[in-house]
Amino acid sequence: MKNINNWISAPKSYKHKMGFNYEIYENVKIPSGKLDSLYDFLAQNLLKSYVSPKAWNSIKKNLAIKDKAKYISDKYIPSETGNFNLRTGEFGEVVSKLIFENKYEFIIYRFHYKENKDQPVKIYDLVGFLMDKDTILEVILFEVKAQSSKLNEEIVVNATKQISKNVVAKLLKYLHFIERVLSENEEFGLYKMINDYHLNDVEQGEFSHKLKVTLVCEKSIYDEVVLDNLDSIKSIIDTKTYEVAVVLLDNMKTLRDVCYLRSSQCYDDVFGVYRSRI
Amino acid sequence: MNKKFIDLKKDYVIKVIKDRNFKNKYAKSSAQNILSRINKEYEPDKDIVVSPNHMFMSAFYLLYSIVDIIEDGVDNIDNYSEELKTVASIFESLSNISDINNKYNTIERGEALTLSSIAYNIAGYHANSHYLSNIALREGELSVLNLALNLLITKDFKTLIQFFKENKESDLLLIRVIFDNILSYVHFGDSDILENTEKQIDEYTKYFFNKGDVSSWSALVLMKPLLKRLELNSLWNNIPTEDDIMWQEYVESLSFQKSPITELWPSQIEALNSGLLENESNYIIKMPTSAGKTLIAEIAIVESLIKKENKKCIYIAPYKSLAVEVREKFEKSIGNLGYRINVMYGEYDVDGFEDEIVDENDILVLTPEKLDLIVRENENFAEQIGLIIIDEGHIVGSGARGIRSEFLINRVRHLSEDIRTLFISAVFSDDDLDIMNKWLKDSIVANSSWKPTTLHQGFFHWRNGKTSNEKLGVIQFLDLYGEKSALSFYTKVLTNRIRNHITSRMNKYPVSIQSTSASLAIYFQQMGQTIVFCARKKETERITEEILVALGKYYPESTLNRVSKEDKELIQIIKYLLSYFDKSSLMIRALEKGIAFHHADLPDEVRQIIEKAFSEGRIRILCCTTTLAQGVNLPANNVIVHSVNHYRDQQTEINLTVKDYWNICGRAGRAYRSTEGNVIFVPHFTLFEKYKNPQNIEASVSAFSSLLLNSKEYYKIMKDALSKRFDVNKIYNGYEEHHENNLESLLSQLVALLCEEIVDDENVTQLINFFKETLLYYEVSEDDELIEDIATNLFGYIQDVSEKYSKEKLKEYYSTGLNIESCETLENQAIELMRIIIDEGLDAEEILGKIVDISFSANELKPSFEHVSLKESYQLSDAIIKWINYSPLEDIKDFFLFEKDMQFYNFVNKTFIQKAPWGIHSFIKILEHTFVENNYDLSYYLPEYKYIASKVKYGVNDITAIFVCSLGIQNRIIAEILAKYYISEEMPNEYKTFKKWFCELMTEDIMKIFDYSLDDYSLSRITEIRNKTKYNSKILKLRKAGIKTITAKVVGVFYEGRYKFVYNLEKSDKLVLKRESDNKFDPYAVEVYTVYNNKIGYIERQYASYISTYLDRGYKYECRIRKITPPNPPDSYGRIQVQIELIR
Repeated sequence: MKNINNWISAPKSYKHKMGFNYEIYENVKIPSGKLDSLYDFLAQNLLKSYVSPKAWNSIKKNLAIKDKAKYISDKYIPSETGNFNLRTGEFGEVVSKLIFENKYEFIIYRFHYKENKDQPVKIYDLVGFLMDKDTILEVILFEVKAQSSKLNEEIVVNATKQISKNVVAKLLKYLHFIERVLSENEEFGLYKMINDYHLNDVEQGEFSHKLKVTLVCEKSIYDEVVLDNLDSIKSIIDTKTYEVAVVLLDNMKTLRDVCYLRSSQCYDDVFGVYRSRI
Repeated sequence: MNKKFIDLKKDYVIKVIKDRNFKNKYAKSSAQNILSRINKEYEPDKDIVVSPNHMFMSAFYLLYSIVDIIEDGVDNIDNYSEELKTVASIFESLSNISDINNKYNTIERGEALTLSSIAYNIAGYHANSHYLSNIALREGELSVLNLALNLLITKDFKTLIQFFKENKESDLLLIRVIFDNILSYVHFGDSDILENTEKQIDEYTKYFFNKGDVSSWSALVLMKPLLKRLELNSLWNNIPTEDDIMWQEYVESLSFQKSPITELWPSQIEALNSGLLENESNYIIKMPTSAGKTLIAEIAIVESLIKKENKKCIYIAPYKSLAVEVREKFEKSIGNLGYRINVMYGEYDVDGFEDEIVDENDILVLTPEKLDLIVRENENFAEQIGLIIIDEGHIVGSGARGIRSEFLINRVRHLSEDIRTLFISAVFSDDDLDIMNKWLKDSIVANSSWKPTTLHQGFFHWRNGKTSNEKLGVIQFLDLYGEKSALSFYTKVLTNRIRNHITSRMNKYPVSIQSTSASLAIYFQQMGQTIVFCARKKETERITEEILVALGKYYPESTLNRVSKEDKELIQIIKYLLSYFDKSSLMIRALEKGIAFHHADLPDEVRQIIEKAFSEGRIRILCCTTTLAQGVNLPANNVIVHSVNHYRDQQTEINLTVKDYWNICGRAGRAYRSTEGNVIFVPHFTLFEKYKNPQNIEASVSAFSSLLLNSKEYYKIMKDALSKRFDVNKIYNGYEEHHENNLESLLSQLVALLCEEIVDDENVTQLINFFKETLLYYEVSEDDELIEDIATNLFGYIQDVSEKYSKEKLKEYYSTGLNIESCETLENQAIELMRIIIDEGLDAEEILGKIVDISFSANELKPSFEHVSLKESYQLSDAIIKWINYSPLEDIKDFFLFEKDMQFYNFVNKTFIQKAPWGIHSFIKILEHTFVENNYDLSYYLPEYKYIASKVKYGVNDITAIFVCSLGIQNRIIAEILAKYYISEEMPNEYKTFKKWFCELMTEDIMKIFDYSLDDYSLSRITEIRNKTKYNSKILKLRKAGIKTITAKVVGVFYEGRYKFVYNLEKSDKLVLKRESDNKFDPYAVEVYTVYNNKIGYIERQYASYISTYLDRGYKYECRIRKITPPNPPDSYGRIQVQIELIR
């Protein structure tokens, strides 16, 4: 499924509006013929996000559990398969992670695994960073809206608000985290580069980190109204340092529904993947 | 981390801190911060707006970089204190800036506040940290971990424990262990736990790191330096708690106080590190105001009480109000352990039972005069002293009391060699320190300039605006070094603010210096409590009036206009003060808006009430003179210096000394209530040049030197001798006006030296030697010849005196504290009075009148009729007799002529309360001797003669009422009612029995005594005094022995029909104890319930104070009935004795 990254190699169109740069991927298509394996792949990843590695491990070692697949299904998969409300927030993040995983030098994502079946999984921010030749640091935070319970116009604004809340501290914490990883890996060059950015910022008296807010949206809920609403973001974020990218996916809703269904109905298949690793 | 990485961080941290752009923005953000707090609606000008995101980034980078550097402990955490303080101050500014404008809410207030608090904490600024965490908890949106951290920092341990009980997320459970361990260390000091905790933090940090949980990881990363700081500054780490159970008890009890004290500030650690607890040297401690010197004094006291078990500690405070305040502070900590503390102030007057007070207390807080008197009255007293602490130690060298204090200390040190002396002051100049150090011999100087808050000093001036009509009010703030530099950016900001609010109204608002100060006060009070300092008493009232006018006319929207409606306590205070002021008076009108004035002409009680109300935050603006600086430690957020000079007469202008200015500046900055203090200088800025720098604090010569310098004989010689050390023209020399007093004080001290046999009348050598131990000797650069000359000269006086009077007579005179001439005057009249008493058979009241009249004839005691005079045909003694017969002051007013009520109250204070008791006490002593010499018994004619001075001092006529007042109850009516009730109970009229009765009074008893008509304010004043009074040393003994099984009575069974529940109880029945910690009248109350949850009363007060402390520390208990007498109302309501076992 590495090809999934090709989704975003689809031609971009740029729109400039009110000082924002929007990167819009309008014609992202799912490669034909591979739909079925894509569903499986995504369904597996969804299930992975339900159960923590620690839990997987202990299930694996627990000889008392004979039908491990059933056990997992009973314990972690919501009983009402059609009740997707319980599971909002999982799909978009999983897709995004898969999309961007290889685009960035470094990526951090965090799942909050289920501890019981009725507890929804949570996924926090994804962050990656890019350093290009001109040594510009770009950190990306994601917010995904695959389905909407609210009015369309509000989606982007709400999502951006959500991201921009405490965003500077969040961003800096990630940067420091990255620094730590670099120092643990003895990557002095990159480490110094990040510190240079900071120093440069201080000396220039400007905040030069590029912060990209990326929204992944179902195409059907996107229209010009959403873009118009982006104007209101201007009042809550500092335009110099932010960029908003909107990734629009065709038919995301179908994709999501099928994946959810598979992850719960075909637990045996899904578990098979894990079983092979056990 | 690898060294290469750390070195890079170190390098970059310095680069950022030194960067010009960074400094610039730092100053701007501070400016914006002040602005945003003074005026919430204000939109800052473009040129001062900084990008919060950018500032946040810089601060964040610095904080985490420093944390990386100090993480492995190679670099000392203290090396980065200043940098961390800068970081903290940026975060703090940002928390306010982001609050005022939605545009910047990409930074959350809660996050900024927490980071600021943490940075301050790691830097050792615990009070700031505490203050900001409090705000964060109140106002910020916090993540779970930040919430826990802030609770830990604010020491809200109860909520913290509750919080962990309620949050059971698995990751949080891990972290809970860390917090549990920290709490355990803070309370009980187990250092092994701390070591484990450090390991746990490392482990969990790694766990979150591997998990990629950035937010938990980044919070935990900060835990390690926090823990390091906690350990470094912890009381457990700095005090030898393993040496004695009382140390252990002391530190434990501090950690469980209502406002727990668990760590020391850097200034305090500096003092301890210099060996305060290890050696017996004398000490001079110089610390800025509110840098925590009282705690250091307290620790020295505990050390002395532990090491020298039978010796007392003497704490000398120069002013009554300060003495009272210090006692209160000690009561909460040392008093809580069971040590007994009392405060004695006033002149050389003595209560009839003062011996008992001196005898029973472990710690005496005294004014110098009181100590002098006790030494004079009690030959062996000096030998009972283990430690003397002299607060505001600079008074020893200077001021009208200089000679007395200096000689007194030398005398005491002569009388007993085993006394440790500790001087504390905020305003010693370097010269003072040097001389003091030589004077004390082998002393250690602990000189710290660390302050818990940051002082911003700025001066106000007018500048031309854009148009010729417009003027701008500008405040130019100096940087922390008193210079105009990058930080003076402040000014521009404030220019705009003031321009908007003062100058735009200039046409209708004539800008006088008073209205400028008034407006500044109204603005700055929004940022916190503000003091307007005036050199003249009248100005304080004028500015108060000006503020009231401005509030009505120009600031109707100000919150000050609503103060009294929102503060019920303040209304009570106003009601209470109506006995002093008319409803329409300036003071009452001002108080209704949270404003007050304070100067020497106000009666003592009024000043105290105002000081207390200010310290409780009820008064927002206080216009005052230096009198305030001489009193209690009364910090404010802002000090506006309105004027610095006054005129003694039409020609002589007197300037405030730089020393006094800095004493006042010291008030700016309230630890735990703000992180900074602002001083705004309003007089001409040329004057500011002189004051702004603490280096300009005048060298002051001791009162002895000054006295000689002002004498004809020694003027030239002294000037030459002093000039080797001082720039004689610049020496502060404010003593000319008191020359006579100083000379008398010196002569009185010479007599004391003779009577205490420190010198004799035959050989001058001893006097020379004594003078070589004075400050004078070191001030004249150890000029032996000069000292010999002075000694020889004054030796003549000693010889004259001892030739003229017998030893006994001299001792009798000496014990009065008056000078010889005054005693002689009194003696002559005593003989005359004795004759009249015996021959004419005067009644007690007539004798009393005569005694009063004669007492005032002593030189030192002549009443000052400057503003108040007696009406024709009225006698002062008649007024005083009315006074002790409980006549209200309103009636006594009829005896006098005066312009203002305040002048009268002040006269009463000076004449009735201060001078008369000293005079009466002295005269009665002489009279008593006269009677004895002639074989008569004074008590036959005047039975209660020993109590007359006290009766006058307190304005009461019963001995029991004197007991009441001596405990600190100032209201005469309350004293009278309590006394009458006590007498009606047919209790013996002895001080000790009364004290016990009073201490064991339940709040319900007090309410009953006053027929349930006492208002809450008066009730709290009575219970406050009851709560801090102890009548024996039982509790101390229990603590010292570590006893945890107590037998106590259950009291209050009579009230609220509780006895009904006693019928069914039997011996050995289990009872339930409940800490009534919200009891506002009794902080130690322990309620007793049956197992069926029926309240049957309280644990008797004495033991409640012991048991409650352990219950508060989380001890478990077993409580069973030991003895029980069933109730039989109305004759008896049942007696229950319980046995309580406390279990840790």
